[in-house]
Amino acid sequence: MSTLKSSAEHLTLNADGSGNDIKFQSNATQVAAIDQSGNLTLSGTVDGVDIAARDAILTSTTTTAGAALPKAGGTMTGGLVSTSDITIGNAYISSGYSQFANLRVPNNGYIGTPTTVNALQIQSNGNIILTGTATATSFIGSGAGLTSVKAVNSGRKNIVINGGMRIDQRNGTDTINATGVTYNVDRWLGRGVSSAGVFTLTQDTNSPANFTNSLKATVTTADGSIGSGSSYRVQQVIEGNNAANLNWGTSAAQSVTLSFWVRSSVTGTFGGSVANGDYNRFNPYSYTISSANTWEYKTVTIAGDTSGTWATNSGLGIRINWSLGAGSSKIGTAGTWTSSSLEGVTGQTNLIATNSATFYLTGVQFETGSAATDFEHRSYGEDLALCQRYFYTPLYDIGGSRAQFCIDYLVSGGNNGWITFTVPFPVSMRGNATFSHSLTPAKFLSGGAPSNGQDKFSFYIQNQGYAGLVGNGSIANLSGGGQYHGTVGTYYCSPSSTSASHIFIGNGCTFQFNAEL
Amino acid sequence: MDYENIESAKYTFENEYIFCVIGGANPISVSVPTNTNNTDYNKLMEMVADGDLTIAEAV
Repeated sequence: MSTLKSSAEHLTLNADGSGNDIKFQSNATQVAAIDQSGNLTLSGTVDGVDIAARDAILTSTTTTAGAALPKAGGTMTGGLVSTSDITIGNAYISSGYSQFANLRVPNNGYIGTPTTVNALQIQSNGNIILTGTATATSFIGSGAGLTSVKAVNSGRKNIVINGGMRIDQRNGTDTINATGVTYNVDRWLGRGVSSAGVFTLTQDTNSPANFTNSLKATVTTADGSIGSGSSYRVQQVIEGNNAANLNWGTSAAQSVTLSFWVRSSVTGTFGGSVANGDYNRFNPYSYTISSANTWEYKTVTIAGDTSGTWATNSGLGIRINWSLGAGSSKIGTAGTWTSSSLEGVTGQTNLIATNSATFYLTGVQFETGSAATDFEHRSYGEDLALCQRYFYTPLYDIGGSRAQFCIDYLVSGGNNGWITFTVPFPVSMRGNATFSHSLTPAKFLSGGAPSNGQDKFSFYIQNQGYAGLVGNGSIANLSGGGQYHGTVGTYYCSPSSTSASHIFIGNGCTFQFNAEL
Repeated sequence: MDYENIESAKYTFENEYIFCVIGGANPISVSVPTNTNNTDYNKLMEMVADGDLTIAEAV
């Protein structure tokens, strides 16, 4: 072994001259060099020890090594503390250990991207300010301190009434042709306009999971060449009072989301529209039915209308249409507000063109915001009461064969006799109601009470029995109406007894109050 | 309300209601309040304006 040594003074290695370095070789191969600028170049390590073995030093903030981290691989067991911004590339920050390893952000510190530096802020008091959308599978906590839960639309969120199609006071099948509006399941109507097609509406028990009923439309007369101005539709009309919070017709108009379950024997792109009461503001929407005779869930978000007139009183606020067929002048571009009378969307499938085609609808929800939330399942009593503001028959779901009302005033004098009685309303109706009944003299039942399903009426004397019918007038002239209660009566017609106390009306009769929009 | 099958229509005392007899498969009697917030009343007025319906005066 040869040794280059100096014992009592500096040892100088001098590569004299510009551009000359001091080089070290081993077995004729350079292993190190010091250039004239003093840079040291090694082909090995400094001390033959991997940097992973320097953890004890690297985790100390008292050494300059604290500024260094493994460039790739390895595991940091200590915490990472920085007094300035930390930029991470296309990578995740995760804890590979346990819930005790936390990602800490300084007071009022931000987590963000180079272009959105304040995407997430965690404040010193624990508040989180998020500028985007929070997506999670669950949120844990009692929520007791929540002051605003608009994002989840809790509470009374569904503007549609009887969206689950459970309430059916009229309880029948209606034929929808070109003559006016016909209500079927409560709050739901069908309409055909100047056209040759016919369909029926009825309540049905075919429904998706978590529902018991649906509204069923069946085409009974197909219209395969719909006139340009013709349309067929299922509709719910919303009272202005119930849509006032949407602020439609103002610059503060809120977006809404319509969600529903639909099943049809015909597939394709279907359409509908949202319109105002004056019928001069329309916004078509579309949805796709992919599989025949299969329940499918659909959602549509509609921007609030900042124009037009939208009723905010007991008048007609919003019409929501499901088109079963529309002519060329009744369809338009989805998602655009217009003053043209549009019932559907361009390119839509017309159910009415197929004879015997069926269309089921249920789980309808119309709520503020741009996201559909779970259907608001109200109690049966709540749904019924909401419906009874618009339509009421005391013969619906009464659990007996008849409704009975106390006679308020009675003069029994043959042709001079008269009678009035009051029909209590369970809720105040929207307005003064139309009163309809099917009572005629031929339907008078002498000496008994109407049995289940009978289209009959009779007079009763408490604890005494039944009275006859006298007078040359007709019970068919029974008239009246009301908003807070029904008051009805007639003249030249009365019980034969001056002491009759009740009128019994069989549940097979028509006896109803209508304040629909 | 089956407007196409109205057989007769007349005002009741003090014009509080329009009393209609509806024919067809299921005859019924109907009292329509004379109130513009009632859709049936508005429809009857349209029919009168169009000459499709005459409402008799109250007696």
